[in-house]
Amino acid sequence: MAVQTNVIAEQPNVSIDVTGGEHLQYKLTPRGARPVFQLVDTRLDPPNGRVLMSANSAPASNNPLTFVRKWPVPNDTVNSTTNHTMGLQFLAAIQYRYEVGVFDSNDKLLRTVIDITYTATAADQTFFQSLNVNAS
Amino acid sequence: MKTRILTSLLLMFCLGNSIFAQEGKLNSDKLREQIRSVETIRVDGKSAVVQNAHKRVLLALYEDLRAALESDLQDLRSIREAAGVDRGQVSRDLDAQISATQKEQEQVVARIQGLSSGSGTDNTAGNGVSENDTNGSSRSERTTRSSTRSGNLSSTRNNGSSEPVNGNASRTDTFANNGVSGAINATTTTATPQAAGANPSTSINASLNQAIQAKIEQRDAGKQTETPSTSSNSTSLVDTSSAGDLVNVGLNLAGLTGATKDNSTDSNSVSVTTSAYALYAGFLGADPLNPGFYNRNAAWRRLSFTLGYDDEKDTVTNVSTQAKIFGVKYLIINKRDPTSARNDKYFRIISNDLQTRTTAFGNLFEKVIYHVSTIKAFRDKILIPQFRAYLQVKRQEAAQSVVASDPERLARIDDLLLRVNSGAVFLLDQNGVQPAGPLAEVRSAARTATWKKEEADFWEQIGRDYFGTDYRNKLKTAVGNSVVDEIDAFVEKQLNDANVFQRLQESSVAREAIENIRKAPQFSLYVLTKQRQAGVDEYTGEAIFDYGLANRVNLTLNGNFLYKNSPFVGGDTRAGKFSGQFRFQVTPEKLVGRNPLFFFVSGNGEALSGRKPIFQAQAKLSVPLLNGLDLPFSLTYANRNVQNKKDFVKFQFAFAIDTARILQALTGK
Repeated sequence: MAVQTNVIAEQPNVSIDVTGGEHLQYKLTPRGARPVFQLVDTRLDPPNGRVLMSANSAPASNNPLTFVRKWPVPNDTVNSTTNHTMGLQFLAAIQYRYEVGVFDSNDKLLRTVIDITYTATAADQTFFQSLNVNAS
Repeated sequence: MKTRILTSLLLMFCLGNSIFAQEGKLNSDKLREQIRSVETIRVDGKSAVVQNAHKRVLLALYEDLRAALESDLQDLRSIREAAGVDRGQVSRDLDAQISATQKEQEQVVARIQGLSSGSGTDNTAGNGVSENDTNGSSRSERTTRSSTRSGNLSSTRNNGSSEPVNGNASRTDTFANNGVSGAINATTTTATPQAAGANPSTSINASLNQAIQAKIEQRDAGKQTETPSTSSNSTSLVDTSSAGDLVNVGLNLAGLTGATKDNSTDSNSVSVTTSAYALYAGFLGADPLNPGFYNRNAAWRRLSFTLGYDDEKDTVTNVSTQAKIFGVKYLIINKRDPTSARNDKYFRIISNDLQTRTTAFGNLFEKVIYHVSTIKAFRDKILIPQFRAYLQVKRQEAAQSVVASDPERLARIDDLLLRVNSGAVFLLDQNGVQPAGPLAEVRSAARTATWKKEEADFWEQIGRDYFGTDYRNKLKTAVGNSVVDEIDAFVEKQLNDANVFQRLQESSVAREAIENIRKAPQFSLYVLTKQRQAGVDEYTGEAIFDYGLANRVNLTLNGNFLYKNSPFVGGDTRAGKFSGQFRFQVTPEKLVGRNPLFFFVSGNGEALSGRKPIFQAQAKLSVPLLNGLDLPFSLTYANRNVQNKKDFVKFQFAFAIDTARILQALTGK
């Protein structure tokens, strides 16, 4: 596989107590000339899904460039289950670190669901990281 | 007796540690001290209980240390960001500290992995139902409870409970609670999420990516890694318009003298090209690959420098001399820069296409994951029995304590216990995925298609235990090869669906957008000089135009003026030179890390004052050997040689090394 991964944590499903204040935090740290990525709720707005975060989103930090998305936020549609998939494009970026954590209502990290660094050895590749989300 | 004392000491340590944990949990210094203290306790030759407890305490501490180091890293990065990029030594010190902390974190992860892999059998023996009892509280309870580190350990003392929970159920339940409370993850025999550190992903997700990896077109191979064409030993007749961002090295080997009629080929040349951008980033101590820095400093990437030498053997005296090469290249037009406004519209297209593909992947991923829950062997041997055991533990908890926010919990679990016996749990909708419903139904005792909270929580654990890292071996071990084979067959069937695969692939519009970026014109000026200790110095001014004509076909045109400064009065010469090259990409980019195979056809004409024009034609094949290492062969015909005025054919080969790519491959950065 042309995209190399370095896995600290990886799981395909997560269950969070939304009514108790738990939430997910998606964090992406790209390296390279121009990141292209899409974090999509693939169950909403079919067939293309609803974008939760992309390279056009306002970064949380510029040095290093970091994008952060909390889910759910008040305007988010929350059903009992959905799927959040991150699509990473390596056209003009060589590396992405993708972290997903479950946080409590006090923004304390409860557990890390995904923590993976993806490195492309050649340009113009893509990688997808999917997470099935259950909310209660 | 000694065993009891040792175990008691470890338990006391953990009790104290759990109190301390809240304030010291993210203090890496304190955690290192604790780890040292525990590691000084010798347990060799002690009972399995003691060794298990020792291992679990260590694992818990290492987990905390990993989290503490992560927190340290975040703090350091914040400080680094606040300090700005122009703090000189301070910035460099901070970078060094960040790097050291990252390294330590990697070592800690490796240690966790080692402890986890070694803790399995101990844990199987040590875990019992009461461990679930201790940890099996609801999520809302758990988040408000103090650390269960001591609880986990004490639970290992309660083996042999009459609760009919099998080992697997016990492990998964404990795992979830550990995740929330920050207690000892070592109590699981399956890999913790952190236990796969420094490893390539071997999950179902990665496997699916491998299966559907879209094969898009070539990377930009226009960056020159060979010696400049002014070097007589270069396998290039033309210079391309951009240099590598970091440092490129072209190392020509001696020409094959036996295959040529030219006597001047027994020589070598080396050149190094670096961009001002790389130097500037190095000077500031900034990460040249930080997109923000990259965008802010596009102008620095227009300028690049070349240093090198050319070994030349005099055909008359047979004495070798070394000519030094100095060059400066400036990109006047660079429409291929990803940060250029011209390319924004193409990136929008690529981004939109990525959204479609991402959704298609997510849909497929769901189908595959949920399909596993329907495979009979998996369902009968893992899902249903473990879930039944899980529910029994949860029922016990629910009977003991009522959670105000979840009043129907006991009734809901009772209903699930009824359903689990008939297998009516984890039911899927008509699309073969988990049905989505309103949140209220998740905690309701009423039967609905929506999965209940216990199903969702348990499904997370199943995913972690069986679908994550090394899922193939885990499933094979648990239920045999048939499940893995069935998953593979299901994936293949899905990918054979033209509609599914079409949405997973890069669209033609997106491919065109990528090509539009890659084929955009570049125009640069290149000034190069070759300085000799004795003899004629050369000065070259060159204009380079690079343009993509079609897919896989690139045109490069050079026009240059050559001035040779002779030490003899009246010996100076001036020349005009024009050259052009077509580059054909023979193979698509399929091989990991390597450049595609290229074929070049080029020619040049050179008119030197007072001499007859020289014309050369060249065919060249660039063979990719490794990532960052190419071997170009060239066959050149010239109508005359400068020295003996005869026509000649020259065969050459060289190694072209792209250090940035090699470093990237070696360091993974």
